[in-house]
Amino acid sequence: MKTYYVGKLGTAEGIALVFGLVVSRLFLSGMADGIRGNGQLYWLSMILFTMIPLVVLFMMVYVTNSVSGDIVAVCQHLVGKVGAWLILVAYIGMFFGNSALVLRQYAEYTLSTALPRAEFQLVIVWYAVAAGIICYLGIEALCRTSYILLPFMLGGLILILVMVNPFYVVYNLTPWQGNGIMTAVQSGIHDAGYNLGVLSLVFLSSAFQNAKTIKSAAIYALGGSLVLRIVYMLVYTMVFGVAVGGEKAMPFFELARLVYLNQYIQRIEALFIVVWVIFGLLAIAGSMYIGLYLIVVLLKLPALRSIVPLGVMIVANLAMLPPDIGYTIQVDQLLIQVTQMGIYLFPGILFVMALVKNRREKSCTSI
Amino acid sequence: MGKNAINKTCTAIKELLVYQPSDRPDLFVLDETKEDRKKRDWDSPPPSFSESLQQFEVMVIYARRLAIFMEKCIAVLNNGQWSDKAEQLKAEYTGLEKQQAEIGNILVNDNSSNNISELAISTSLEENQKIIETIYQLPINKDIVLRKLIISDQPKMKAMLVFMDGLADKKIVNMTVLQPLMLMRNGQQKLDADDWVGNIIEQCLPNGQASRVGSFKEVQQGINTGDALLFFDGIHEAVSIETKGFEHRGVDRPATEQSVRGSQNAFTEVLRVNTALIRSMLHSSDLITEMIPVGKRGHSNCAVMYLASVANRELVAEVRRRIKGINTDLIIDSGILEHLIIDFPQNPFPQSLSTERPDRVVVHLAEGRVAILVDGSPFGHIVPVSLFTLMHSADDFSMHFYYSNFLRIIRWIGGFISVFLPAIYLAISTFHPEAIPTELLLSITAARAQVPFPTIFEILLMELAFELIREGGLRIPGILGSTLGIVGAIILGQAAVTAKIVSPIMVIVIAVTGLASYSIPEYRLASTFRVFRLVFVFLTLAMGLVGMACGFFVITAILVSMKSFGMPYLAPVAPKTTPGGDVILRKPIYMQKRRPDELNPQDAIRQGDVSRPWTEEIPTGGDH
Repeated sequence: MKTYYVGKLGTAEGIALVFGLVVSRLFLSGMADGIRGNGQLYWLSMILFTMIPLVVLFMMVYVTNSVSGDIVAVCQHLVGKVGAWLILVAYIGMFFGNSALVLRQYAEYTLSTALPRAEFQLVIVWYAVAAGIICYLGIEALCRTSYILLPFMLGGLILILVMVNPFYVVYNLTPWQGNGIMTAVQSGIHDAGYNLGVLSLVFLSSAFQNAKTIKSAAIYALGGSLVLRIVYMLVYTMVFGVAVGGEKAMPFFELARLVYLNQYIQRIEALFIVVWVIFGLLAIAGSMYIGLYLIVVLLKLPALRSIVPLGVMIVANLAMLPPDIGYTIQVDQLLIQVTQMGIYLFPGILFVMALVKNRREKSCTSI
Repeated sequence: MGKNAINKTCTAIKELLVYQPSDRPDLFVLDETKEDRKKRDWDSPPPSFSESLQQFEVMVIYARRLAIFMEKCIAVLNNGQWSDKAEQLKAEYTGLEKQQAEIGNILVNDNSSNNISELAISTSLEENQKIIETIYQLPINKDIVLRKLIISDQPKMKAMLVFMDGLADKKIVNMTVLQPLMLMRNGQQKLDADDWVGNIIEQCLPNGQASRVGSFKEVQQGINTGDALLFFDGIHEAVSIETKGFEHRGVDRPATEQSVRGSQNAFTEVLRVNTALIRSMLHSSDLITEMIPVGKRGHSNCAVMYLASVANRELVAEVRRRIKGINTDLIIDSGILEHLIIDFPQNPFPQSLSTERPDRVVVHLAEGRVAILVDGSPFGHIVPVSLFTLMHSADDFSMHFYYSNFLRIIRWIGGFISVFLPAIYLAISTFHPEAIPTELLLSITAARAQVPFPTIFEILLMELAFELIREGGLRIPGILGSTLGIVGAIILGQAAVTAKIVSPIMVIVIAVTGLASYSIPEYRLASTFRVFRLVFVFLTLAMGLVGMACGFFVITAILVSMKSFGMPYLAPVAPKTTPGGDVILRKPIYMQKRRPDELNPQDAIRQGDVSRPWTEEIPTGGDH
């Protein structure tokens, strides 16, 4: 008998979980890369790489509705035991990889902006242990903490976007075609892995009340994150322009540094460390929990808490592997490529198999 | 002279080096008693089988003799030979009485080896007396009064009254127990022998409460709470008569939860006074008071109060189950009880609302919560609670909602300052000085330039000084305490700044933090915030604002995963439920239509959709 307790999650918890998983990269260099690649039309790319995972989630909800049981049972029923193992191990790798790379990038971010004299390993271990404690408390605590803190964090983010208004140059948004529509569309299809976190709702489907809760949580979370991303991207572009903005390694920090309203409200970027630290922790802990959860259900382990220290060690060690931040960003881009499998390939296979099996069953019953 | 000096020196060295047994008696060491050790080591084995058999034989012989004697009595009475045989029967009866006394000893010894509290009341008055003497360690214990009396001649009835001196009112005992019972004998009042105890209660005892008891557990509960217990010879029941009359503090003003506009009554140490105070404010037939005795040795009464038609039945059952499930010696305070029944005793956040105000208890009872009161404690506990409930104060209910909301915001800001201000100061001054405006930074740097210690040392020093003043102020008797506290703080702060041990801004930071901590209405929550203030200081010392942010996240996660009697600690925010209109801010009373959803009350509606129907009516008077 399973002794681990996933908890009872509602729409608010689902929104908070997905939002925490997908928004964290807003503070990292991905935004600047996107603007560099797509120019002023990056928003179109954002719409695409948000809509695609949403469609994928709806497909996966169809899959889980058509077969009863947890994600392992669903996969085993549709693609067999070996197939299920392959798919779930791949997802475990993706979530652990995401956790480790976000951890590494946030640690580098911390070293560059907040604690330049701190020891690198100490920062990594600090984040990993904090994320481990949150995982130990469970997904229910993680989600609820997330939706208590998110309004304040988003408030801080929006405040920064508003406070840099003296630097808005609307002409920076032109030419609106950016680097071309096709480039933006390709980029949108290519970067759909940024929102892999939305599939966590499917993996934890047993904790949610029903499919409607999962769908509404996904719509609100991805919709909210899309609006936030687009607003952020437009403000960032207005402030820095495409040429300068595309060069920045820490876009949020650079934006916050510009705030100068008067001699008392200036150089407030240090205070906003709290905001991105919490966003980072949400993403690290959330990804780590999903990875651990998949391990537990796959191996039919009786408890999750006991493997949390193991997860912390794995994630911390993975995060320490890349030799420098440049290599880390390269690996991160590679991970986004790999996560395309998690967005397109596996859900596609499962959806097709579910459709075929459903049709067969229907035809059998009609005979 | 020289020889003497050498001798003395040698003797001193010898005394120093050579062991000599002390001529003083050994000091007291708290250890096991010899009896305990004997019991543990089985030095005195239990009575042997042959001894037990011997005792059994004695009892059988007595029973046989008694049966023969009774048969003989019946035969004598039937044959009408009473006058001839009376002397012989009397002698036999005296012999039987002697033998019964010996058997009584055997029975008492046998009973005392078992759990004496669980014994049923015996028909033998002597045996009951011996059990009482054993339980209360008579005659060493001088608090117990044991009064024997004969209350009737026809038939002759011996009785024994037992009460606790000081807990029972002697006037009540004399006037309402002893006097009627003894006058009954003079008045030759006849009582029905079938239900002697019932007749005594109904006809002779003019007390408000008198009830039958059957076991020594109930006897002890009665005596220990000030009741008088009346035993009768030949009857296996006793009567517990209410004679409570001990000295206690009267109903006074609240000492720790003062209110400007609210009720001015506070609980006392007497349980029944406290339950009456609640009942005097909540005139409802639904209001239930369950009494649950707690403590194996203390037998304190614990009152569980709730509104039967509102409170969730499962919540009431859970509270009852937890209190009944306590296995401890003694509970002298509601705080001790709280630690034994809450879900997370290791967590420093209070999981019940402790209040000395009956009006607060009443408000929460009406919402569907359960109140717990303990005999001897002037504080009631309300369960379940959320963190938000702990930030409410008694005045919130009496003030206009604009002002009470303003005060609540001030309290939350106070709470935030209390927890974070020293940590933020440490983080900004040590790790992120760029966040401070230049002028302020220069001012801080100039002030700190002459202080030879790091900021963390200053913080810890000032925190320690502040806590010492606070703790010392509590211990200094009377009004001197607060005066010395304030004077001490001013002098100490000024002296520390002058001596350049701390910077002036640090004094301001710690003083503001201390002041802010007093804005938190719940004392235990304020203490918890003080503890977490230090935690945040150390986290910040390690990692600056990053450490603080991580700590804040983790503590929020811990709070989210906590429950108070099954109710999430951060409800109705996390998990999101329908709020009752009184969470962080308070809606006007007429808009608080629902009870807090997180309590799952039996009746969720507090007031109708239109709580002020007069606003929809056309006024009858006036000029329209």
